[in-house]
Amino acid sequence: MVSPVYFQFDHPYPSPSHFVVETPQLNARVERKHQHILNVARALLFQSHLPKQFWCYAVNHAVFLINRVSTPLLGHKTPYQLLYDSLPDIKLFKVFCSLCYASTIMSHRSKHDPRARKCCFLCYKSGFKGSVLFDLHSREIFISRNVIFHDHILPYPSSSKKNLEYFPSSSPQSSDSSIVTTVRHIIALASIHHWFIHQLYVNNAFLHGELQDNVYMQLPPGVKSSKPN
Amino acid sequence: MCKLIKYLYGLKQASRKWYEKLTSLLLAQGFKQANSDHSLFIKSSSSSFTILLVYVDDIILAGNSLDEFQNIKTILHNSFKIKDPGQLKYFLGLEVAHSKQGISLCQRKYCLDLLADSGFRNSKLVSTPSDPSIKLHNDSSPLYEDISSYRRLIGRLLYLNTTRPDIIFVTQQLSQFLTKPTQTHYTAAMRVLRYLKSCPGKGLFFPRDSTLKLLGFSDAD
Repeated sequence: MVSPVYFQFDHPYPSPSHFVVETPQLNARVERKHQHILNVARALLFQSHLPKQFWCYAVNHAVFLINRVSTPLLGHKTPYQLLYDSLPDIKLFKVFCSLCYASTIMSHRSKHDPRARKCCFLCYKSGFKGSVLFDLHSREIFISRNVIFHDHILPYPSSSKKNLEYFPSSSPQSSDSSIVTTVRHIIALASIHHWFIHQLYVNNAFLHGELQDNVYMQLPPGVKSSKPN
Repeated sequence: MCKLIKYLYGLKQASRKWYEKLTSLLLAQGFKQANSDHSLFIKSSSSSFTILLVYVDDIILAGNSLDEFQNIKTILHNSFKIKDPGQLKYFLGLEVAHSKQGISLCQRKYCLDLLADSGFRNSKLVSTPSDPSIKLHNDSSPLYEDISSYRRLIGRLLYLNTTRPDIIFVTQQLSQFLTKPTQTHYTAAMRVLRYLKSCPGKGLFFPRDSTLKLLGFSDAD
């Protein structure tokens, strides 16, 4: 998780890839870096409205960005520059979780299948010449190189909207236990507001609906019908 | 065989059809169905506020305008024929008493019926619902022989919880053992009944002078 590129040049000792045991004073540097990375990652997550589960991609992209941004500590050069002795490719900079369309794989599609999948950009993966994408419909995470980016469009809905979709406005029919709860509430309100409170009984309630289907029944015992069928 | 032309009691669709018909009538009268409880209908205007609660064929009307009450009663009577006993007194086993100080709610009759059905007419009384020295848990003692009667009893205690907050804790404890009740659990349930016998008419009181404030409480952990 911690950027290896950064460490090689930020540290006075060459490449401390192994720490000496029982030297907590070396932790401070790690903790400080950790804080920096998480600050950037949090900003990415908040801006994109992505759920927290995507933290690993945000951290990954944060490290990618930090390594390619110049810092006064390195004489206004980027860590990438010091390691590879070349400028980082600015074209690779994409907005975290921005809208993009990835081409579908040609061998997997027929003539009438969609040509692209609607995705959002998550990060680059080391060792791959492509970007990690999140398919907004199938919720699949995959790597693709044939992508058209639409930076500045953040397709992921903000959390408040999502919650509204998740909880339908109408709840299922109430059960018996909640009707007495409602009765208690009404009585409490009626008492405080000095309301009138009356009750009614409906006679033969179930006989009132209009029958639309054909329903037949056997004559109850003791009833004589003039027509036998 | 005969063909039905109207709904009868016992027909599967009857309750649903009745509910549909009543709902459409109330909506046409300007009532709004509440989202949180579908049996609750609310009608508010600048001059009046009326709440209507339906439980199958029992209806409660609450509000500040008797004219509106009369209006609804006439409409319902024209469509269905209703009985109008006036002020709310008895609804789903809840006894309601009105006074100048407030409204009280109890389940005295329900409680006495429960005691009578359990044969508790002549038993000794206790002053607390549970014995503090006994902790209920899944013990290995022999199962209580009539499991379904234990479950029935707990079910009735649960309904009694509506107006009896004093037995809520012990009912919750007892209802954890519905699958495997033992003699210990049954004895504890019997103690609840003996406690209920000491005060069957206890209930809730809603004073008129209390304020409409929502208060929340939570325990420390």
